[in-house]
Amino acid sequence: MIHQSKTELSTPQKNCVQFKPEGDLLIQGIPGSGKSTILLARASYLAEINPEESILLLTFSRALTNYMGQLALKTYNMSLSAKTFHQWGQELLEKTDYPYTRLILGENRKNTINFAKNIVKKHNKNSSFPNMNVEKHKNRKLLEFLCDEIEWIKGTGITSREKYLNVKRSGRGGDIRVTKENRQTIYDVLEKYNELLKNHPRHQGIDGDDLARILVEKNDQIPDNLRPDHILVDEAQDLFTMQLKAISSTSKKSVTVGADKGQQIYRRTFTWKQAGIDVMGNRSRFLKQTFRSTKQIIELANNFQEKDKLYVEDPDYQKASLPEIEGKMPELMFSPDMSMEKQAIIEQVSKIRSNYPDDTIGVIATSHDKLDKFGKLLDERGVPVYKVKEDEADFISPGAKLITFHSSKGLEFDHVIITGLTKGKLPYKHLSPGEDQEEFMSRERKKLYVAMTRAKKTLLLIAVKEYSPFVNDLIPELYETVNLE
Amino acid sequence: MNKILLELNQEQRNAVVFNGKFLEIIAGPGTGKTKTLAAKILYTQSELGIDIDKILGISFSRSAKSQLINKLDEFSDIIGYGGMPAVLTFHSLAHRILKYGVHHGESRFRNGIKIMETEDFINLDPSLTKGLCNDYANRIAVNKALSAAYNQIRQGSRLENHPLHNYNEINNNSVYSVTTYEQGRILVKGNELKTFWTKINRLEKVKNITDYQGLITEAIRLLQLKQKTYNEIAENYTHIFIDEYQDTSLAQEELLLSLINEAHHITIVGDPNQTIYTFNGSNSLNMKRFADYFSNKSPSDFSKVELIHNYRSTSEVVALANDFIKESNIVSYNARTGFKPAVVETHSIDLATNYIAEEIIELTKNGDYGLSDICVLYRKNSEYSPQGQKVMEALGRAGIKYTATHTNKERNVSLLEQVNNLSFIYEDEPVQDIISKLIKKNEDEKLISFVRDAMKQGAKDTDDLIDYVVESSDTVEDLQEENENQDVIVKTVHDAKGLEYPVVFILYLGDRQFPHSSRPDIEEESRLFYVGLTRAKDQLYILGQKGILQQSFMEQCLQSDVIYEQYHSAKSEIRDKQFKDKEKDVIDKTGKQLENEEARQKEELRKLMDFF
Repeated sequence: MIHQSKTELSTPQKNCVQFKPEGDLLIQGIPGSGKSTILLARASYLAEINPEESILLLTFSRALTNYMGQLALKTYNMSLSAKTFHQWGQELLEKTDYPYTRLILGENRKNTINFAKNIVKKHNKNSSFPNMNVEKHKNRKLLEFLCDEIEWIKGTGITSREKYLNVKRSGRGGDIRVTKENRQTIYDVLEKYNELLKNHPRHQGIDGDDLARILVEKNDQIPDNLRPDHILVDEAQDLFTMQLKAISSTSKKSVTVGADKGQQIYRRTFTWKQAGIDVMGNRSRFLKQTFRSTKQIIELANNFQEKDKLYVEDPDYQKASLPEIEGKMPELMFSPDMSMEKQAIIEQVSKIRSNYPDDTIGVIATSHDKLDKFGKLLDERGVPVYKVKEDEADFISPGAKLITFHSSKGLEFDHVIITGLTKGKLPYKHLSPGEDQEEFMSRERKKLYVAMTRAKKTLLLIAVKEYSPFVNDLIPELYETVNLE
Repeated sequence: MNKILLELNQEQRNAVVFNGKFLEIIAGPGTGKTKTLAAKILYTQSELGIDIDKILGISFSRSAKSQLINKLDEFSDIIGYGGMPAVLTFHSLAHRILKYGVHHGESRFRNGIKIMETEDFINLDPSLTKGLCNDYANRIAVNKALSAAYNQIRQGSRLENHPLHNYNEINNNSVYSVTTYEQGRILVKGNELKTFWTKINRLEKVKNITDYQGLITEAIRLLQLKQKTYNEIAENYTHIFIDEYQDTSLAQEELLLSLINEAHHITIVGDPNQTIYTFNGSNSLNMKRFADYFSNKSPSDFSKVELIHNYRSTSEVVALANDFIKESNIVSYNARTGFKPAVVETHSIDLATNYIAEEIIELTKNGDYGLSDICVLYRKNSEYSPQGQKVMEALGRAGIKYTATHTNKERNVSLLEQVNNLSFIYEDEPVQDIISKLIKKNEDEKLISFVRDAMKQGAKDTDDLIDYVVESSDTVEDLQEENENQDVIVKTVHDAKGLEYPVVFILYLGDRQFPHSSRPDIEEESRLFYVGLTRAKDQLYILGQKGILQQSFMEQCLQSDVIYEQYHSAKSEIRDKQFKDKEKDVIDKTGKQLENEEARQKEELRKLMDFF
């Protein structure tokens, strides 16, 4: 990567130099290409050349906020101000004249949308909801669908019924047909939902999408001392257009964005321009080479990922080159049942703790329930166990870090144990409502790919009967099969 | 008296014998504040010949009050002389002033005034907030926000720089932002608050009621009239002693300044570093303001004494506390070399509490310490941060007996209600008779024991009872008879103010925990931690994790001379498997390559940045 950048930068077009450190910078890259590392390097650089200027790092989860803070301390001995978008947005919102600052997110938001849906259903005889193509849990699926659709409408900046009825909706699969009548009803729910946010005693507040919009609209009310000179955004593909707009209009001097398509677990679509981020010509860097892991691990992961047609055909697709660092072959264990899986985890952790007591071990599973079980198991054996779902999680200290596939994103561990490669769990047996089968599989595959690429030194995958079909996509030449001793 | 003076050190003695009018005593933790105050009160009586009735003590907490009274008892036993002065809180003093005001027809209230919580006004008349803050549908939150704003503007310092006395002083265009638990930040407009205040005024008049801050505001008004009420009060109390002065609000300060004239003598005691109630309107600049005001006003009459010798803690604890606040405002008196304070790094509250339980068993095993010598201080006990809960669970699991005391933040409303009622039924009857009647009627035992206590402290009629109930609901901590049970004490750092224990555990340091909240008031949290540190006499344990995104109290402690312990698992670890030598060789090599690569990357990235 560095080499490549150097050649690019030695071309005559050196105009970018005059923009520094102002102007926006986009850093794109595949997993392991060290976007976080570059963001931190950029933060440290900005702090060094202009010690008086303020720097803020925004991430999409509290856990990542913490991780980046720890990394900044460890690598650059720098105390970095890092927040989640929502946390930061709420602080700014309190300085505006917008009356509501109570955040309606996650479950609360779902409840409110459900309430709106029920009101529409009850009071509007002509309501017509799209038919969910599922056998069971039709209502739950419909609610999930509505939540996604409302997020999309608001996040894209659609503010009139007219516009929504006529907009081309991309990024949704074909198995749910949404008619014009459906769209009318969906918009009814949206309006009801907005109304509840405005004036219902229990639901009054602001959701993440409105938060971004209000920050853009009332940007002039944000006091100067709360505007960072430089904002760095990690995993920016997870933010909506409006959120990025809010960020770019609040920063005083520059925005640096780290993003990547391969890791896009949530469904988002936008262009940087829409988000108000003006990427200067060669100030956009696509990071191709990964240096965080070994050749052996990346080879297996790449090979697995390339089985995804959708991904390979994407015009933005870049084949990652292999790192030069040699390492142990990744291991795959076939376990007939859960108790063998547990035994395998205990053995692997015991080995690592004996030989590398200062290393971190990422134990990745599909659910928190399973992680809790593994945690108890390891705890009994006196292993330091860190539950990463806790906000103040410590990612740097030695020991076993328990983490789900989903939240493994952006993190790295010396050793990784991926558990529960079981049919029906990964890929998950149910599609999200409205989602295309192929897109769904693509996303599920990315989850495993992301998890594999978290490993720096060793990787152990555990398949538990019935084995996940993904196991067949791992080429036997690229891993070693292991059995319990 | 000499006997007592001999027991004091030079600074303490200086404070006691100072004969000017205005004295400020800055008293760091463990420097014999109560002793000095008690000695000065006795000195004022015995050497200066001031009548005990002329002396007024003002204190903020019941524990501080009882400590002072005990010390006075002890000292007067030694010299065989000395009476017990009135010791009030600012609220019960204000109530007393109101009674005089009513008596002289100068108050806007009538006899038998009832005191209630601000929010109870709204319960009494829900239309008070009608039409106000209409943006907000959650009316409970609105009620709380308006009540909070109403209190804060009258207290001073939070929403307004000086206390407001009248709704006319509110600027219609002001916008006050008040944070509520239910609804987040609520915007209250100046004209809305004005309307609220106006309506309350009317209600207060009709029902002859007021709230706690209303007592202060009315007392200030009465004193500033400089009429009969003022004359009587000013004449009644000529020598005023105020404890914990750093905890006064701006309105209470104003009350004091409105009360005094050339004849008064005032002694204040406090420690700006222990200001931990700014959310109640106190201000760490209180001590400085007092000194500035009086040293300007009459320099020859003013003196400031700093008590610096700490008699409580080991030199190690004192050194850590001083390092932490980056001041050396206390010095260890005893060059005791006890144990170094332990800083224990864990990564969860569960582990921390586990450590505490294990350590308590260890400490008490050989009889070095009894359970009641040990106190566990936590920052917070909430759903998000169940520190207190986890401590109790861990102690329970380990079979360690404990007593958990916690402040009843909600004032004891039912007691207040009951005593208010008594004043209607038994007006003008002697307290002794009231007690027998209550017993006959089989009334609430809590009420009866309250009346008994009040009588012991000098209450004579129902009016006095209200004084005492105002005072008890006003006090900050709820002093239980801790030492009766031979248990480990578990309480918040706030509640431990003014107390001391041979062994103290403090938890749980780390982002959002201690310092508390996602946007902590670092200054206040630091002072609170300082208060916690200085509770320990011999042994001090600090548990938690390092702060990453916020100020790290743990890192700060580690700069001092402490024992640093890491405790990341409760059991000793089983490591019964190893990598094969071959495997180990490969992984070792990977590790080296990664290390080199990372170092190289870091350097190249730095160069690359120059191009961006």
